Amino acid sequence: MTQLQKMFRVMFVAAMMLALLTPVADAQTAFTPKGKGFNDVVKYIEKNYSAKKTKIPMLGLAKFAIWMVRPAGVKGFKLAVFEDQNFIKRADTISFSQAMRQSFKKDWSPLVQFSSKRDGASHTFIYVKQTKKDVEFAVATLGESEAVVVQAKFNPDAAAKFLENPKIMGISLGNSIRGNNTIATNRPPKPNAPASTPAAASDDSSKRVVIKDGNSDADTAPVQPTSRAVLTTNDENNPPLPAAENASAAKTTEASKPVEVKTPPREDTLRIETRLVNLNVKALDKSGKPITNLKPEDFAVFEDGTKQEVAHFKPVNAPVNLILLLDLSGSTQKKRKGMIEAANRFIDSLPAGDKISIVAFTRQYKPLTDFTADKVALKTAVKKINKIGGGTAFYDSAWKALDQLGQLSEARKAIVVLTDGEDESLISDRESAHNFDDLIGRASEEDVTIYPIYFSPNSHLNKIGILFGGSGGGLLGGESKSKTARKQLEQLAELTGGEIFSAQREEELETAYKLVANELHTLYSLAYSPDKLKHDGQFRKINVKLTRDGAVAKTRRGYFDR
Amino acid sequence: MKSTLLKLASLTLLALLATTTAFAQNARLQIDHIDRLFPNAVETIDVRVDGALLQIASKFLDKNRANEAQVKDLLNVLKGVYVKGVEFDQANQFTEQDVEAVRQQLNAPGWSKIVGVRSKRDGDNVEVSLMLNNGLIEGIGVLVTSPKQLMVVNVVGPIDPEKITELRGSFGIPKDFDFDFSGSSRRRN
Repeated sequence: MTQLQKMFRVMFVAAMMLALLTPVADAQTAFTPKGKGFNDVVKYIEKNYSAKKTKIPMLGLAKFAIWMVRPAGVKGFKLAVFEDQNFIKRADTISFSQAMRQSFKKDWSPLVQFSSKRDGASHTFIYVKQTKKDVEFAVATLGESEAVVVQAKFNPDAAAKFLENPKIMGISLGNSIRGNNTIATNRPPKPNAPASTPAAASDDSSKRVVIKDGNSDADTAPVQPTSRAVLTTNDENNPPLPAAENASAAKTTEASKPVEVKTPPREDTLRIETRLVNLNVKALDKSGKPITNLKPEDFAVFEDGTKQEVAHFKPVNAPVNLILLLDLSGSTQKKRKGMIEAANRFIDSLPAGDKISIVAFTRQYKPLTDFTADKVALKTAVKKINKIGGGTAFYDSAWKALDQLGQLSEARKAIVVLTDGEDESLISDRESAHNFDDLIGRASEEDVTIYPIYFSPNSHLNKIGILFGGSGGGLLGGESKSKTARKQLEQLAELTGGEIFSAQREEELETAYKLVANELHTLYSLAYSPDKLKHDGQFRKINVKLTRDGAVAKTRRGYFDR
Repeated sequence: MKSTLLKLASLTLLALLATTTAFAQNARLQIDHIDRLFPNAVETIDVRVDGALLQIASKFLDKNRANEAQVKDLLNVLKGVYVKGVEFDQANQFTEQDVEAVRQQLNAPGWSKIVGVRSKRDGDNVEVSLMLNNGLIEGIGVLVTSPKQLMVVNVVGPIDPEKITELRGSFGIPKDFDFDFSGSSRRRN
């Protein structure tokens, strides 16, 4: 081989290597936006994070349809979605914030810029551009594993007109869909819905013993499939009703009320009726600290101002039956690891005798365990929450938790609910079977103490809510829904004698759980049989006083005598 | 003589106009210095909604609906809403000068502090000030500080207290809230 050939060969190999390396180098080269808006942002994400766009079926067709039809004044849009990517690692280049600023120059104005370095970092940017009649919005969000970039152009006048009279290509879509910009309160109680829960109130919070002769019926006795003497009781000294029977008793809609047959009382009917009213009571000293060494004689219970005799008493260290109700809606999806760890520590921190039922809720109520003191089984169940996700039917789930606790004969019942409290009916048009008024009415009458842990991992987004209301509301959209939700949780805690705790981050959960665990064993349980039973449906106000100087007692406010 | 009066009147009118403009301009707080804190903060928020955008937003409100009509009127005259905030993982990441730069503006003539809450326990501090001009609110400034947080909210534009009163029950304002612009706001008993 000649010298020339050798040289040529070396040069050829070098050239090939260079050619092969060039695309790699090019791919790794950081992309710097040049003020081209949407395209620049998408390119920046693709290049700097080596991310690939998610293919959206029919997107081209949708764009064409929008361009043709221009619904709601929208003249066009661009959309890029990146899913299941790693947006934590990126090429060593300009930050996303800088990239956004460099992408949207010229006529674009920043409207909202939000960045968080917490939990793997997230960014939300909204830019706006106004032309003569049109407005163009660009929204870019970047999270730990997802990114969305949207740019849309619309005519505000046409959009406003559409809201008033929704029509597409001359076809009416119904009545005005303009939002009702009023304060985000809960909707009023349904006209036919009971103000509270007759069955639950009378059967769960209080105990009634009816002994009937087999051949006789009480004057308004529910129809019972029995021909022998019946002892119906929920007293803790007696076994509870079978689950199915009791569950049906707990149903509260008018339609599901037991059919009542009015027959004249017979003389051979022996009717003994009593009722136990269970109370979870927290005693506080002058400085607001819990008192945990009280005896039965330290309590004085009053019903409508009349002193009652305390029939049962349990000290603060008596076992508790509780439901750990976990909100597994989308907002908590990325916090599951922390949620599992904190829940496990909570389980460990409770005394051996406490029985827990782990329940997950989304749009569905999913009990993961029955009431058990087996901590290994409980922790195994908690792991399952990783695979659950969905919406937030908070009111209905809390309602079902009360049903579930209602099946227990023992006193000392509590619900620890980890949630942001934002029931779907608060933030969307989705209907719930029970509204907040129903729930608060029932909860305030039952012997179940509720401890909400207000877990709002997206609370930073509520800062945007100053304007838009985060999850609805704000200066431009009514009261923040999250505020309403929090208020509702506070009310639930207050009216059931519980406390509300807050955790904005996963790491704060453990502290919140610790506080709940401490609180749970500051509760005394008392029960009394009211001296007068009228069954007039009126509210009986309960007041508990303590004999110690300056000490106060917290408990539920009363019950309806049905 | 006539010409002197005319000149005087013109000058007075000019002065009045200048005062009004000055008030409107002063109601816009200079808060861009907070931007320099953004790189080290764990959370940042920056919102700028100017008058034109507010007017666009008002197009989506119906003047025939009682509660929306009030809001529409309010948005139509607002000049802007601005928010800047930072939150740090550790305390003392911003200086007293950063806060004073805002506080000095809120202490300037025309501004009246209506709410001041200071907690010695956790170091939280909330100040709400109004820019008042002939009984009209020309601007609202809210300064929130805690050892780890600094946030400023600034609403610019003429706001009629009567209209705000009629906004009770909307925009997060409780129905039972009693506005008293003589120096305090409170809930009705």
